Amino acid sequence: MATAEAIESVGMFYPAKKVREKNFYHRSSPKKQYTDWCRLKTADRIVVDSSVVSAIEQVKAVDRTVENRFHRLAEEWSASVGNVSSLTAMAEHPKYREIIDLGWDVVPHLLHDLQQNHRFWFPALTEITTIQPYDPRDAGNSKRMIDAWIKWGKRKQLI
Amino acid sequence: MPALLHLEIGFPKLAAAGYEKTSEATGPALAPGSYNCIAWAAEDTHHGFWWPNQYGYWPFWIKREVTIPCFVKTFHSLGYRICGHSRRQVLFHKVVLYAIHKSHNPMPVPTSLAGFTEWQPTHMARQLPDGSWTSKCGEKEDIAHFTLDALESYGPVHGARDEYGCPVIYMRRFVVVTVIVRFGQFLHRIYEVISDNN
Repeated sequence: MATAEAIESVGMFYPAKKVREKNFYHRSSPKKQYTDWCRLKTADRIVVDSSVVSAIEQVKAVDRTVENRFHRLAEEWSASVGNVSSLTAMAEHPKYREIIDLGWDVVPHLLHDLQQNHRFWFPALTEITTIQPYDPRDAGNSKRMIDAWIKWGKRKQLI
Repeated sequence: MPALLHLEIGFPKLAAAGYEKTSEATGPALAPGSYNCIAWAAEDTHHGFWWPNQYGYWPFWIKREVTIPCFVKTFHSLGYRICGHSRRQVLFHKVVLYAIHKSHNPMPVPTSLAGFTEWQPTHMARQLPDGSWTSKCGEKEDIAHFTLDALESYGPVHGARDEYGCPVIYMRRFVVVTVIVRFGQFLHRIYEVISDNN
């Protein structure tokens, strides 16, 4: 670890009491600060704020399942593209790309949302599954396209 | 009229330019009865979301590609011809195409179609008989806006949430042609309803 990085990590984990006692941040040489930090007991070094830990755990718990991640991203995407008419711009949105990056696990949720909320998931479904279950002449006929995807999903027992 | 804050946040000039809500929001892109600005400009809301990629509706006689020339060609086939300005003209109906440069920055508008290679079409508006403009903003409400620059927007870097760019192409159609095209669209709709039922 480079000295500068080490000093930064000390800033994160070094107990505030010790910092005050040793006047840690006011020493002249970063190298000297690093040496002092190395002399500390491990228990003193690794002091992480418990509120930060619990906040991180809460975020992780919410995002633990693909379904939760999908719903969060889908809501954020919907809010961002509400005024957009370009289907290209909708599918190129960063949140939409994140949904595609969830892979096959998100396909049942996409199909369910397509059926329930009629949101624009055709590019995501096509990109993840690499198939196009509707007739190319039906492009633009949203009812037929949705029906084709739902029928495919039922046959594959995804919904 | 209550302010449409979601539109005013997306388009910083909208509130100052003035606008009126003319319909309720239609909902998500694929919801029954939903349509976008291109369908609204073409007066063909029956077909929902018009877009020249593999997922939207586009007239079958025009090759699908998301470029300015493709939009111009399509509206040319609906009887519109390119004209030089947005002012109201007696006996003509007008539409305007918005586009944004790929850099997402305000750029000088090219003077010929060949110069639009770096531009992406984003939105269309249609002129109303009183000279104001009507727009459908994505899945949101239809609005009548009094100026075209009301919807100018270049994304978060330029203080807007949306990225419509600016008006780049003006097209006009003689009123008699409008009547003929509307009748053709009506027949097309009937044909589709009958073929759907079969």
